[in-house]
Formats: sequence, structure tokens, C-alpha cells
Amino acid sequence: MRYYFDIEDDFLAVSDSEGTEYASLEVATREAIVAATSIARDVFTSKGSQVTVTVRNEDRPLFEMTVRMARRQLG
Amino acid sequence: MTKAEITAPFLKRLKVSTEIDEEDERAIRNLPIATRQMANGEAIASIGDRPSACCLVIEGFVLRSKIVGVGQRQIMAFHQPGDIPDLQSLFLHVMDHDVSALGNSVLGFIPHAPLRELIKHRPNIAQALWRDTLTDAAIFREWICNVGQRDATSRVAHLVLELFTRLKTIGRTEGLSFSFPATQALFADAVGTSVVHMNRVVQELRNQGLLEFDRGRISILDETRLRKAADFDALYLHLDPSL
Repeated sequence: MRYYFDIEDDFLAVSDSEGTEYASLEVATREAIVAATSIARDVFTSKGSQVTVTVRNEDRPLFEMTVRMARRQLG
Repeated sequence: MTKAEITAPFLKRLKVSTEIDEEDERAIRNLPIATRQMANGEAIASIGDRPSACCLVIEGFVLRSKIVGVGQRQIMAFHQPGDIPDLQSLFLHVMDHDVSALGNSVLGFIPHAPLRELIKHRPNIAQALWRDTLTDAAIFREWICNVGQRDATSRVAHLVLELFTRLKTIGRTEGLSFSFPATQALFADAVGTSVVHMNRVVQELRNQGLLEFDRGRISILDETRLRKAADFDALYLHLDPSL
């Protein structure tokens, strides 16, 4: 099954037009976790605070995953 | 293809960084080299193989990779015309990684025996090949720094500058652009990111006016800013023998 991963964060919105083949929804979910967390590192170090990866198949959106950074000043 | 054409990129590259004389050149041109066309992704040597010949890239590209864990691929090197990616097989007899064609390529296979003879009788060539494998190691060291410490955008920028700088030495660049048949998925495997992250990096580099990826062609839009973003210093490529 082909899965498409759209990215939206504080700086960019990237729509995936090509998609990638994965054996199962489970594998695609793992890919989404790896992508969202590693993009989050780039976004947060550039002073952004949030990234959302939306996963679609050819017919419909399946789920979205958001990584958010919260910083609280102490003292 | 004539023998001169087959060895031209190799000699051109060796002459950039080492001292070899006319007799050395003649000896290299006279090596028995069997050429073969290979399709994108075709295996040249795989883990566990015991190659009896080294492969010289004549046209196209070659990559070295290893499958890690449950199937993730790490690409460890890209090779261009004039490179001998598996020169190590001359002394390390069993392959510890995979070597395969990137894009449609023309490769020349040089049997180990005459290559060993050549090294025995021509010290300049022995030194040049030794230097070549040391430079390979220097590039691997930089690759570790790249994948281990830089952020994804810098990694991609760094890899593009490495490819550009090396291709320039053999005259395979046009202005600030060059042709390179790698997909974004392949780039992702080389810089150790997911394909999804790679999509974002490509978009970011384009938005910043630094790089453009367009169907097998990579164009540098602003070299100075790209170098800065990449943290790139060409020293590790050891292209100048006078240094």
C-alpha cells in the first residue's frame, strides 16, 4: 500500500505528491513517528514549537501525529 | 570503447592529486579491463562475496551500502567515473558491504592479478592507489561527522557540495549544476533521515534559495550561503597534492 506524508510546522507546509510503499499500516506509522520526531528537532532548534505529520493513502486521510514542544521557565 | 576512453576519467582523477609519469599512464591504459553495462540498482559485489576483480566506474555512478538491523539501508559512499569503489577487495578478500550501480552505468572490471603485478612494478601507481584508499577513509570520517552531528538540512547541503566538488575535478559539472540520478529516498538513506524528513529538507533548501533538485539534476543556487549552511570545508577531499 502506498502512503503519503504531509508535513506542517511553524515554517513549512510540504505536501507529499509521490508517496512511499510500505508493507503495512504499522510500518507506515513507525515511519511517521521517526519523521515527526526528527523534523521536530530541526523545527525546535529553529525556535518553532510544533510539527504535524498527516498520513494519507490513495483514497483518504488516515491519521495525523503532532509533536509539540513546551518550555516553562523555572526560577 | 577504446582503452584510452576507459581509463581517461581514472587517469584524470589520479593526476589531480598524485605524481604519475607517462610510463605509469601507459601501464594503466594497458590493463585488461572488461567493460559491462549495468542497470540502476544492479549488484556489483555483495556482502560475503569474494571478488576476483576490482570495478572501475567509467560512466554513471556506484554506491556502497549496508543493510542494518531489520532492513534499513545506510548508504556510505557515492562513487563517480574514475573511482575504484572496491579497491579494498585486492587485500580484504571478503566483501563487508554491498556495492551497486546508481543509474545506468558502464563499469570496467580489472582482474586482481594484473593489478597486483602493476602495484609490484610501478611504485608511483602503488602510492597513488594507496593515497586513493586513504582519501576514501577521509571521506568516510567526514560522512560520520555529517550523519552523527549535523542537522538534516546541513547534512544534505554537505553531501551535495561533496558531490559537486568531486565531480568538478573530472569536468562533470555544468556551471553550478550537475546530473545525479538519485531519488530523494536514496538521499535519505545516505544522510540517515526518513524519506518524509528528506522531503521537508528539499523544500526548505529550495525556499531558502540554496538548492534545486529537479529530476536527476541538482543545481546550487547560492554557493556561499550553501557552504555556510553545510559547514563545508573541502580539505578532507585532499584534492591538492601540494598541501
